Amino acid sequence: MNNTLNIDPVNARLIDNVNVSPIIKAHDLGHTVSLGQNQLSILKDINFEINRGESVAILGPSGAGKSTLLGLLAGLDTPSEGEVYLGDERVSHLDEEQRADVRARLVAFVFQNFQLLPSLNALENVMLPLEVQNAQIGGSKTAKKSTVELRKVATDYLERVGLLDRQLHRPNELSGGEQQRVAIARAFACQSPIIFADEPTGNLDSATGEAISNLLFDLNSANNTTLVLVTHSHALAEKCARRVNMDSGFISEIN
Amino acid sequence: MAVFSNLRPIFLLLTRSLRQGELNVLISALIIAVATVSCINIFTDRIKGSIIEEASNLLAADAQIRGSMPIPSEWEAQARLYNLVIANSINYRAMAFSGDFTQLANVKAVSNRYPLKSHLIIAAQPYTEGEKVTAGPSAGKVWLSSRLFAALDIQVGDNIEIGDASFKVDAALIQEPDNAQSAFGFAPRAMINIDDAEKTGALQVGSRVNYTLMLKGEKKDISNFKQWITPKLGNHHRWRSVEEANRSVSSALGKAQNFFLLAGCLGVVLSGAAIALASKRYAKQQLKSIALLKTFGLRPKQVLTAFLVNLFIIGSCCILIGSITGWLLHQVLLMLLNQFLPVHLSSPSVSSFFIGGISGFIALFAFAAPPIFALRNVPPITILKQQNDYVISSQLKQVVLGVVATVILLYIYSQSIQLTGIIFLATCACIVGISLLSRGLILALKKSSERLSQNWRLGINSLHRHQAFNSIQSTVFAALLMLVFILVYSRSGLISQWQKQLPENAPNHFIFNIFPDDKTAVEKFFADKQIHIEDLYPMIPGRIITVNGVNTRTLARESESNINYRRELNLSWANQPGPDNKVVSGNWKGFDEEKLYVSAEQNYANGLGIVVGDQLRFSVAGYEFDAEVSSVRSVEWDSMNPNFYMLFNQPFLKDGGENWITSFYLPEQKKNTINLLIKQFPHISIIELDQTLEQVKTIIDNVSKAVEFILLLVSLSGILLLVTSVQATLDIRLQESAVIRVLGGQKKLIRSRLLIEFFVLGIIAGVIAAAGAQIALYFLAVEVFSLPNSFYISLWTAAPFIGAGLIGLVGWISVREVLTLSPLYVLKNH
Repeated sequence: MNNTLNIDPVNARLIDNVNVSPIIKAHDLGHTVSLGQNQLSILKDINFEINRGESVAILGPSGAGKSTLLGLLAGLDTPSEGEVYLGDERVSHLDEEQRADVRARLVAFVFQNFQLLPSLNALENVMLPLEVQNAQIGGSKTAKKSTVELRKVATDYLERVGLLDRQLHRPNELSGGEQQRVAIARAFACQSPIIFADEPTGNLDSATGEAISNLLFDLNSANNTTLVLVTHSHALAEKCARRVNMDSGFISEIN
Repeated sequence: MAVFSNLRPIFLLLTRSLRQGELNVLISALIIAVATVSCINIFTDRIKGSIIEEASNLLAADAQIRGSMPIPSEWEAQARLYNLVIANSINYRAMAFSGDFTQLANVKAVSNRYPLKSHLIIAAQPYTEGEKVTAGPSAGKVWLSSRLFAALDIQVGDNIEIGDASFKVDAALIQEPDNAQSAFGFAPRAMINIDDAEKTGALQVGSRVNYTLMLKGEKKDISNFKQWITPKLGNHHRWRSVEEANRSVSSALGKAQNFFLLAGCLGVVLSGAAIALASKRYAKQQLKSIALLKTFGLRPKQVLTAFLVNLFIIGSCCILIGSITGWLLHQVLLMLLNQFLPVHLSSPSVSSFFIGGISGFIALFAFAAPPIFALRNVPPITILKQQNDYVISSQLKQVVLGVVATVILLYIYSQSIQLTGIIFLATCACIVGISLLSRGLILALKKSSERLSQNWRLGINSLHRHQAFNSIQSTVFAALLMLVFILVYSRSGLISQWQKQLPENAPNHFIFNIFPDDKTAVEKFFADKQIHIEDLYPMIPGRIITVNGVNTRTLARESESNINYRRELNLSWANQPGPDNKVVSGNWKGFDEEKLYVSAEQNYANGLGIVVGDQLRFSVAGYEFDAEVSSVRSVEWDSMNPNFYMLFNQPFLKDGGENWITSFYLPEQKKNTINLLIKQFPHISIIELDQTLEQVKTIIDNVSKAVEFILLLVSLSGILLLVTSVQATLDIRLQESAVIRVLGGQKKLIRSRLLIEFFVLGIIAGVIAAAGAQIALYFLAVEVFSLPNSFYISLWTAAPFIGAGLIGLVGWISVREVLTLSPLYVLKNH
């Protein structure tokens, strides 16, 4: 089976005539984990290229390797074999310190369980990655900002997701939908070129999930970011420019 | 400052963790550890400091010559020629009495220039602070230590009699420079002018008297005089410099400090274990947060730096609070022991806080740091995983680091590699032994639980399921309870047992300083009063100079015995040894032998390697003579009869000079006889053993209180360890209980299951503690005090209840949220 996702140049141009260069590349990607004395292959022969500004959904049943693939593409883990490029950086061959730097510059996340820190309020949660980015001396995509400036960026994005009046509320005082809005504000406030979303509507009811997905795609197109999302939901996947179906660690279908 | 601003995200997390109490146990454990060690160290440092501060004043002079013989006037004249200022004192025992009250007093008669250095402190009321004076009492007046005021029921201004002389009580003597150990002595001080010493009638040939010549002057003059006097000192006088005077006290205090610090070490190690468990739990709670921060781009080095800085800040704050708490706690110790301590204590040195601080940092970085620092290695991919199964740090690594820290702390406290090794190995053996025993008991309970009700079965099953943590809890508590039981039972049980051991009507009074002229009159006195007295024995102070020509000092240096061979002995003679003496080697020689023979007490002989046939050279009042060892005797010292290390077969001094000693039993209702005796024979000295026993009991009670106080601090660390080890199982308990409740189980079922688990655990700890304490008490009674073993039924009945109550309560409080949190919340969030 050929597991290479060939980018349709026409389709890509439709998305963004200017930025057609790939921002994510996966070459011969494979991943194996040890279970006691046994080796379990989770991903095999993945070849992947995604252009700037593109939105791609990764679909598949549980255990297909979707989240593992997302983790490898985002530089959260290193593959057992093959290469991953984020922009010009070969993240698969960097150590954790260097990958952390790349993530700070290029990547932001939206998680299924929102992953807001319960001890921080909404504003502080949104500010948190900005503080981390700000802490990276040199190599940062923005010049160092003061706390006031960071707060301004965070409140701006909270306003965009309609939660300005809830900025001082802690996660346990917010509904699931509201928590995910805060998580989306947090991801976009970083102004990273790539957003990885892992089942962003997985923990929400369908109406709230619809609202959240609309918000996600709206902000994505407004910010011209590249969106890679893992989902079970075909409805959500349909909103992406392309869909990659996975099964048992392989790419089974691309459309 | 850039570094700190870069670490802001983790500072933010930490301040929130502090606010939410996630670090409470860790912080409390650290504060308790530092407070315990600081308290002990400040306490011992102040006492030591007071003595070192007054080191040059300990002799009230630059040097002293002390001896059992009067100081030759030629020496005094020579000292003046060496430009030295001199003062004299005479120390002896005599009875002080006022009305119906009598008390053996330690009389010190001082010359007008006394003290040559430092000062005396006297007050108008006993047990008050008083004021400094630089000269002793004038003739006809007496200064008494505070204890004497109560013993004689007198006040300042009253008259008392000491021996044959009458004195006006002029002041309470609060402190004297050359009597650092007076607080621990049995006979309280009465200070008089040296001109009145003769009038008391107690300074007769054969009395036990110490004469002191005090010297003050330039160092080189002192040194020159020492050179001149040393060859003339003989066997009855000794040169004492400041260094020598200070050595024994410092050494005793050093040992006491080491003992307390080793107890403190137990507290630090228990706190360390609590810190380790608490920090592991904290690290586990932070795992997702750190993984999230890493997805944002936080570098591992930044994580490490941030936690390093954070731990340092937390540690510094805890050490500061712990040191302040230690200071306050040491005041409690001072209060408990105040009657034994000098009134004026020196300020604590900065270094006394240092050991507390060092211990705190060692505990923090050895026990808390490994799991927290390991957070730097949390893979960011963890954030995408549903199961929180990432192992933060290797258990083995943590244990090894903890063991190394414990050994370092033990060494810091004991200053001895050998002691460190022994204590460490003994502790390991105890932990392994108790742990195996508790696991065995848990297993046995599980196997026999089939016949029990459902609630009990569930509780015991839960106990078995969490046995790894439960065995830690039972080990810690069994060990702590065991220490407390040993202390309580040895304090109350062994002393009363010893008292019971004494035969009925065993002598409870000793009288000595009976001069030969009074011997018959004294015997008649008792015969008239129909009071039986034991045989009268002659007594003369003297020394053994050589054993088979080898100097006794050399032999004493090599001896492993704890007998003080430098002290003068009371030598005696008899035709037959007493009924409580048994010849174990050689043969007893009586009066009919022409040659002078001596029989040596077994332990004393063993210490110097003396055997039958050895030639001993004695010195008595400057007269030297030889005697052959004819036998070695074992002596029952607790028979309360007069007994001697060296017993001759005939008088060794032709011109007498001895005084006589005997003992007798005096029932409480005939106590007044003592007053009549003293009135008739004022120079006689009496030791009232019933009072002495009371004093011993008071001292043991107070010292035990101090030890119990330290144990209480150590117990706090143990309770914290119990709380943390219970909390370590909290998540799994929450999940188990939530599942049971979702499946229809009632709160009542879960409550009884938890209570049964903790109560049974407490009973196990109590039973192990009782067994351990019973074994330790057996060894103390049989091996140390030579008493028959007792089975302490109250120990066996109380221990399981105390264990169950304590562990049950602490365990229950620690996990009560298992019942208060909703099952849905638990299943969603844990």
